[in-house]
Amino acid sequence: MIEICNLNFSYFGKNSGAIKDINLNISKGEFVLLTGLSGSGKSTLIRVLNGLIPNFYGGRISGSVKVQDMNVFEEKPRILAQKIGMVFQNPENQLFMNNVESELIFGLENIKLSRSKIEKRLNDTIELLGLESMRKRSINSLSGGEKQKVAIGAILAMQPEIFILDEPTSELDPKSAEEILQVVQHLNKKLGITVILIEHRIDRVIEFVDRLIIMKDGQIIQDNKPKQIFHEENNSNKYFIPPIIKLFLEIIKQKNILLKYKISPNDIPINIEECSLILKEFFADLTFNESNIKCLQQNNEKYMQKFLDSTPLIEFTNVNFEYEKNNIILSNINFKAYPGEFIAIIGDNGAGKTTFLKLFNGLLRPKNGSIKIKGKNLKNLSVAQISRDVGYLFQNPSIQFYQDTVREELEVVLRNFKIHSENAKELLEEYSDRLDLKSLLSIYPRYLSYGEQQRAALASMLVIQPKILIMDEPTHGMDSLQKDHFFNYLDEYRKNGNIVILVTHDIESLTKYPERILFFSEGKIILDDFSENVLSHPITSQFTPQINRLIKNFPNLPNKIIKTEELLELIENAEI
Amino acid sequence: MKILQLTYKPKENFIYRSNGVVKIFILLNLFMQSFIFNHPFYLGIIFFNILILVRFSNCWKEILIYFRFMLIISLFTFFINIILYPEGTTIIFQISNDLQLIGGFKITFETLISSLIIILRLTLIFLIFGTFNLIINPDELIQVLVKLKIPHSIVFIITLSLNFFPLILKDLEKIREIQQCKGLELEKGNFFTKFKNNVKLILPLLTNSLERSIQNAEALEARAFDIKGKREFYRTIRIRFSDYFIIIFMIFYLIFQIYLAFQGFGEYIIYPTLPKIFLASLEYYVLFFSLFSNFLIIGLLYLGDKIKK
Repeated sequence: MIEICNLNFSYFGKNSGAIKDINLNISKGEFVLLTGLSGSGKSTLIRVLNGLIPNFYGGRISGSVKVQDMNVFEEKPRILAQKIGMVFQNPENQLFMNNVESELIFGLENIKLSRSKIEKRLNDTIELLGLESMRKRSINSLSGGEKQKVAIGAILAMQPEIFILDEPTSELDPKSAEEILQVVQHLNKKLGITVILIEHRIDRVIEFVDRLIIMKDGQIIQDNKPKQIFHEENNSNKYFIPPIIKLFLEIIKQKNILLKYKISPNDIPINIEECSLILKEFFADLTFNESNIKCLQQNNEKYMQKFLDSTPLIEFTNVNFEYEKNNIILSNINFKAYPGEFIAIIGDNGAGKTTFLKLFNGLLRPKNGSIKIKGKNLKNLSVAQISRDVGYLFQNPSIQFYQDTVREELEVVLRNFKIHSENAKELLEEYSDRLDLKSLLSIYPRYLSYGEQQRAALASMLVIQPKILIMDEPTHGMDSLQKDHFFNYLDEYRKNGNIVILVTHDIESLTKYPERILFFSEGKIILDDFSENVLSHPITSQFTPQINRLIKNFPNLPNKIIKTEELLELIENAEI
Repeated sequence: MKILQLTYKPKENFIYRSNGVVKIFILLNLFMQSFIFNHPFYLGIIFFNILILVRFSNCWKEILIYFRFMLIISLFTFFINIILYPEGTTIIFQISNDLQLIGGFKITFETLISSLIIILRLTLIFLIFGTFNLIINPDELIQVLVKLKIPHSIVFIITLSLNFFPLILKDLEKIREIQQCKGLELEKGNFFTKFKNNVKLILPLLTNSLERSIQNAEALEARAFDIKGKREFYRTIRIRFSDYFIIIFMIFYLIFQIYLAFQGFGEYIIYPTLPKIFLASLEYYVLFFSLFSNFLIIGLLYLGDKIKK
């Protein structure tokens, strides 16, 4: 269906190729997962498939690309669109109409269908995606997940034979992401549509896909069935291995376990059910001595004691918030945070997480109750004044840059806060060094890669040395390598007596760094506890990490484990 | 996000439910009237008529936001007009000196009145646009344009701009927040520093909109926009008998008003000396008719809605 032969492409004005020597055949009905670190050429490759490259973006191209015997280079993207549907990352920028129904109709009218055909396809699409209840709703009133569903519907209505999705879930919460992925899976399995999906968070989709392609530096470095790929001992894959596969690979390193429980090393489990089936006997035989389990709990108590003597840096007392009268968004929030804490906030969309964050620096003001930062009440301070102590990092880094170079970006912040002369220079040097920005200082910020942008945005916050750093979904769209780096910076920062507070949907990062997690629901803090307690709690089920899900199938294992490493350590010390 | 309240949101009342073409004609009529007449009584009646329309469409709250905004513009216009246009014969206040560059300065009673009339007119036009924004579904507007056989590419541009207005407002709000977090003071300080700092939001807004437009263009290609062939519109607006009746009535009414304007009705000549404000008795009948016809139309809309149900 898709034939790519010796494809090379470099963007206009760049010497190095964005994609190099790609040979790829995709046959009808396949579900292909395309992944790789940021900047590895995934987005470029799919834009070749639907003709946006070279027709929309200029550059040098060679080789050949055929989609159903059509030469892609010669057709306009709008003609190809009838065969190849493409859903983009940001749902907001691909919807044009005022309500859901007109959005679905728009594409159908564009391909000049007759009225009766439009009606049929409209109704089919609505039924297929379950959009009936929002048919007449205005696009502006939809949530992110709903918008993305409509965007998928709008493409689906045009009945393409190939469906390409470019990180469709990166801006969504786990629940909506799950829904979208289910829809995609349905399209592939039930309707036999060929699907090419780009996704960073592999663990959620790996079980549905027929084929996994990993790209690096513009080349395809792995292309096989998922089980095969993880089976091979290959270092270049290490950023993409889902937790349960990682666990499995570690366990089978011990030959005696393999022999005793007759586990075949080729039989890589790709979902929790498979994993628990394969490791069932092994896990059932594990017995732990009390001291091991106690050790985990003791750690928790020690953590609590750390703060007994210190004064809180942040103090919320009985805070309520509402946008309009009688529409309460946050009610009765009491919260304290101490220097050195790393706190994550989780919860459904609309639970009040972002509202809560915006109270920290006065972007929103509470209806009643008091908020104190470093002992000062925020009531009469402006956002700019509070920002001296509270840095706030927004979700999308690129919209945070307005200057011509990264250096100016940092200088403006220093100037705004009236940090002048020598001191400013030193700070700029220090933070650009610490965040590896030295070589990027004279580049236009929006030209940077995603990870670099996020680092530059972080630098522009840290350069004034705030005591508290607030972040709203900082990791969305980052690959695992970037995430690791990013969190390492944060960890270092909070160890200097600062506080990091972030909202995130990224479950695997949640297991690694934050020590304390708040769970929000309907404007209230429902849980405020150590991360393992919150993530293993039944009411946060949609945030439960893979390892914890696995463990819950085995009552003899301590049920609060959330990290792969933790479980492995426990297994090492256990008696078989 | 107060500004977002000013866009169309469906409401349950007969004005919102009624046909878009009819509503466009009603507002167009009011709009033309506020242009062709300048007598304060006439403008007053138009003002009253708009308020009645707003009352029945139940959007007081939103209109009040427009009012507040209008107040600032009005004050500004008022003073500028008084200072820059000192015509007329009835002088209230005068500084006469022989400075050659500036000359003397005076305020006349005529300017005062004419400024008030200008403000009233501006407010009317602003209110009509506001009501238009609130009670007319953009989708319906698009369908009307399609019905009028306007080329689809133009209709599409209008759709796009209508739908992106709220998005751009959201962008602006976000940029405000980001800049404040970067230490830009927008809450404290005197009027001029605040104004100066607010100007710093405009460039980012442009950059963001440009970036958005590239993504939009990509997405448009993916939706097969602008390929050759005859486009068949799935949804077209249906105009019923009672709607036709109102539209035809509105057209004749408008022609009648223009005729009246040519006959000198509703004209108030301010300069050089302000005349008496009272009208000839015939003109009061015209005013009464204007009021009556407004109620008649609203009544017809109500009836039409009842019949449809």
